Amino acid sequence: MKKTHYILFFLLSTAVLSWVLPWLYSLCFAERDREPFVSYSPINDCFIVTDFNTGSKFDEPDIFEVDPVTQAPGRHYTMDQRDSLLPEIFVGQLSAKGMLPDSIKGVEITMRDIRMNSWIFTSSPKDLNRSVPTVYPLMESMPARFKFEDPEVVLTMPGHVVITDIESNTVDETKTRRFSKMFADKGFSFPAKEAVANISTRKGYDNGYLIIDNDNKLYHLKMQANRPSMAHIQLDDTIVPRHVFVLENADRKLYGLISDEAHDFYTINHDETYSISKLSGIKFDPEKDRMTIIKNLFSWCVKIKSGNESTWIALDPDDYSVLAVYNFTNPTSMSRVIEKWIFPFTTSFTNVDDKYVYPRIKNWSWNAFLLNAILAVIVLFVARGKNIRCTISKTVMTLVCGLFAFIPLILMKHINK
Amino acid sequence: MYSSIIFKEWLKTRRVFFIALAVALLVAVYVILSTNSLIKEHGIISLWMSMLLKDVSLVDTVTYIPLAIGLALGIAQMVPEITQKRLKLTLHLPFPQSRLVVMMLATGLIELLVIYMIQMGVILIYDATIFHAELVGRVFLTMLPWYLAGFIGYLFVTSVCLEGTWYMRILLSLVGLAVLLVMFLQPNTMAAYNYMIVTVIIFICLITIFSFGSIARFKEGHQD
Repeated sequence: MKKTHYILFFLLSTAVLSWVLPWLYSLCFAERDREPFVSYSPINDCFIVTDFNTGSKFDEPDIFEVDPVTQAPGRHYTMDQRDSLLPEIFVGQLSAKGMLPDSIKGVEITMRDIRMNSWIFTSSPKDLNRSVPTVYPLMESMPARFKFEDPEVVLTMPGHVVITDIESNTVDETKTRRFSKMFADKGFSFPAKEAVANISTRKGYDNGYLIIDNDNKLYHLKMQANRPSMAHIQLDDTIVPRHVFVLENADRKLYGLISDEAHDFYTINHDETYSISKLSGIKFDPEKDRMTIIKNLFSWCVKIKSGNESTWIALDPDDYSVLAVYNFTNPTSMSRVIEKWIFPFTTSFTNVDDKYVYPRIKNWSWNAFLLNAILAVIVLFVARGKNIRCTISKTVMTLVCGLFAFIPLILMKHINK
Repeated sequence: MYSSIIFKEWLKTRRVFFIALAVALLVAVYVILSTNSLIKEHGIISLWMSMLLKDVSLVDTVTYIPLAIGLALGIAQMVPEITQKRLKLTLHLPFPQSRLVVMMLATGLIELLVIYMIQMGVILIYDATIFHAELVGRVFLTMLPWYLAGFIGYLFVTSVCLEGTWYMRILLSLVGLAVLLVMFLQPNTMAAYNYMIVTVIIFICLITIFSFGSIARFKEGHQD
């Protein structure tokens, strides 16, 4: 029992230290990513990069254009010049100074045009990688008084449709019957893999739910005047939808976005046929990457952040062809480099990309093997002349786990086994 | 002999057991009353939306209560063994040592289980009357790690108390503290520990060994 106690305590201490030590290290040497602000200019058809990482925080940022083909830095600008090059982003500044142009690229523009045609979409892995209830609130899309109200019923789709009245917490038989018939008529295959809506009363209109069924078919569902309105969205055989995103933007041009198994990205256009358009040059895995789309009159500026790499892609707003690409890699900091020489691996229970807690071993580093070997020699020296099997086990553990095993071994040296 | 040992443990813990049960019930009643008050203030629909869209569990008050109860019960059960030198006497009883430790731990763990089940039952039964079954399930999965933390806290306290040397007590306490920290890493997220529940239950079974180890070391004379 004593031996089991010793081994278990040693293993637990090693595991705890592999979590605590890297955590303390990152607390001591906390750093934040310093990414530039990048936007596509409709004036000179280039990316304009605003780099704040110029030393003192009081310094003016370094602003320069990037060649759309070679990605080489070009002419540098002042902040006022930058505002004029990005009129859709800095519309407030320009308008206040009376410098908002009347037209861009021969198209007459007003502040209203800019605001009606601009929107921002963001997607973070944390929003998807979490436990979500499969109870879906159903909003009335055509409220009698033209004002959205909180949903009064919820939809569940375990193997059939069930509509539950929230107030009484009982099944609404009438609505359940109506919705069940609609789902059956449309050939819906249960259970639903994903159902996404934007449940909010603070919006101009309601696009309802986009639902992926068990056969990877995509549906659009709304509740209008307490009755279901459902459409099957036809997808090419090559598109296997994995995640969907509902959009309810002022320009009313899109129902939403689709990310598929091949990490391609599509728009669901706001027309009667629910036509699908592919966004060229976009490879995006919503479960791992972050995406920001800044849409305006003359371009879509799509930013995809994957690990240390960020890519900005400017797309034509009409045919979604690629206008320009800009890549940026966040340099690895010195503290991270040193960390790789100290810790052979790290254990963490949480992650910025999800909302689950469970142990995950990552950041394996061969560089730490040197320190591990030195510590293993010390362990071998300290444990010399004792049980050979025990000495070998301790040495091997130190060789693999380095500092995490070495500290408990030294601390437990005095404990009689 | 079994009933005598259980009775001995019950005598040590009954006062703390009833106080803990009362505290647990009061907290459960507080959760129900505050939920009722929120329903009157904002309406039941608002509460459903908060749970569905904002990860609000409505049981945050419970978070550290099971841990506090676990620690209190562990201290109430084991500190008299050390301070009043009863442990030596206990270990000299004509009864196998391992079974003796099992009986001691089982008494404490069952008392905890009773308190936790009553508190959880009261809250979940109330929730089931106003929320969808899946939401009640999510509340259960949110609360479960807190109760498991209570068991972990209890087992670490027993092993620390039964340990004879201060050096090992400090090491055990530090490791126990780190393990308990893990159980409260995502307090504002519902069902965040879903992937870890089974691992934690296995872990709880494993750390009972620490109490056996402490007793074995104590019996061999490792005492300050």
